[in-house]
Amino acid sequence: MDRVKLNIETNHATLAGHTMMHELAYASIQNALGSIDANTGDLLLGWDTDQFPTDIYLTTQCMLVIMDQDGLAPGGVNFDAKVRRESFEPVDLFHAHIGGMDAFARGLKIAAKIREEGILSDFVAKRYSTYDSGIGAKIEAGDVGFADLEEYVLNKGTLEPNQSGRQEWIENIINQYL
Amino acid sequence: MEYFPEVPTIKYEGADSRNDFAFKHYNPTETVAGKTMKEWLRFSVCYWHTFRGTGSDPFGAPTLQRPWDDGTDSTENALKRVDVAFEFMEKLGAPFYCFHDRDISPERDTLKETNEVLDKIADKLLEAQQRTGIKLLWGTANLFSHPRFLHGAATSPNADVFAYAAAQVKKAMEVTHRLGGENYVFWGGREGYMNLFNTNMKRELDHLAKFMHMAADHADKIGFKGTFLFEPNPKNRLNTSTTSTPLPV
Repeated sequence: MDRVKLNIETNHATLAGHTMMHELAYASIQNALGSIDANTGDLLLGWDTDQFPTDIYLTTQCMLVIMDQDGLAPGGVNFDAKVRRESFEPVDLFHAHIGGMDAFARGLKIAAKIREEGILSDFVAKRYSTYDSGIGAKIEAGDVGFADLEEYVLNKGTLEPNQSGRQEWIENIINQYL
Repeated sequence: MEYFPEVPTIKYEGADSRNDFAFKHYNPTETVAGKTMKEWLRFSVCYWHTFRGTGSDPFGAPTLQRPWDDGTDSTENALKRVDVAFEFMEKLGAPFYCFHDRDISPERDTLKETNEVLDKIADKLLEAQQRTGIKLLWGTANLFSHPRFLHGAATSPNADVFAYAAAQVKKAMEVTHRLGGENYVFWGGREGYMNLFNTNMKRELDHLAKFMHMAADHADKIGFKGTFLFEPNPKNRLNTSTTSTPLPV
C-alpha cells in the first residue's frame, strides 16, 4: 500500500462536516497524507465553492500537521481553487494565487515558530506521559490484558488524578503567534 | 505573444510592501525550519479552474474574460492555452502544475483521435516544462464531465463505460509519466450510487477494486513510480457521491 496515499481538500473536509486539520491529522497518523488541494469553502453554503485560501488560522493548522510529517513531497500544495465569477478579469487570477501563496507562507512561518518554541509539543508530551513508564508503558507495549489491569487497579487503590486540558490557554498560545 | 502584459514577474518584497503584484510573505529561497519555503510548500497551479474555468454556475452564464480563449474545442485553442498557462506560472513563480486529461486537450469523436490530440498537446507541455523548469505535480483523467459517465466510471453498470474509463486512465497515466508527473490522482466525482433500489453495491465496489488493481498493474508495466493519490469527497453536490463513507476515488 506504499503506492497509495490521499489527496485531501479543504472544501471536501468541510462539506463532510470535518475540519481540514482533522482530515490532515487523521491521514498523517496513518502515513496516508500525500498531497493537499488547498482551497476553502464558504461555510455558510453547502457547495463545493473551491475558493482560494486566505485564512491564516487555517493555513497555520495545515502547516502544523504538514511539518509534523516533514512535508508533503512528492505531493504538494495545489490550488484547486477558482476565482469567483464576480472576479472576471484575467488579473484576478494573479491576485488569487498571490493571496493563497502568501497565506500558506505565513502559515508555514507561524507553524515553524510554534514548533521551534515547543510549548505545544511539550504540553502534549506531558499530557500523555503516564504512558511513558509503569503501567502505561506496559499497555502500549501490549504486555498486559484486562486481568492484569484489574489486578493493578485493585492493588493501586487511588488513581493518578487527571490534569487540566488547558484548552483556553492553548488556544491563547496559538493566538500569540498569529 | 504576451497574455498578461500588465503583470510583472511576482517577487518577494516583504510584509510592508503595498505592491499588489508582490509577495509579502512567500520568499521561495528563504529557509524555514531546515528547508526553503519553496521546498516546504511545493505550490501547484491547477489547469482546470485557472485556465478552463468560465464563471458559469447553475444559475448563470459564463462571466470570466479570457481574451486568448476563442471558446472552441480546437487543437489550436488548446495549444495556445499552454502558452497562457506557462506565462502565468512563470510570472507567479509556481514550481508545479496539474491537470485532468480533458483540461489540457479536447475530446474528439473517437478515442484514437482524442489520444492523438492529447499527444500533440503533451509534446508542447513537455517543451514548455523543459524551457521553464516548471514540473507536473500530478495528472488525472476526467471521468465525470462527459455524459457517458452519468452512472459513474469504474462503478458504472455499463461494462463498456468501465472499459472506456480504463482506456482513458491508461492514456492519462502514460501522459503523466511522460511529463515526469510525481503523482497520479483518482477523484471519483461520479462514483457511488444515487439510489440503493437500483444499485448492486457489492458489484460496484468489486468493480472499483478491479479498476484500481488494473491501474496499479499498468503503472508497474510502464514503470510509473508516482504515488496514487485518492481524493475523498463525501457529501459533494447532489449529482456526485451520496455515500457518507468517502469513496476511494
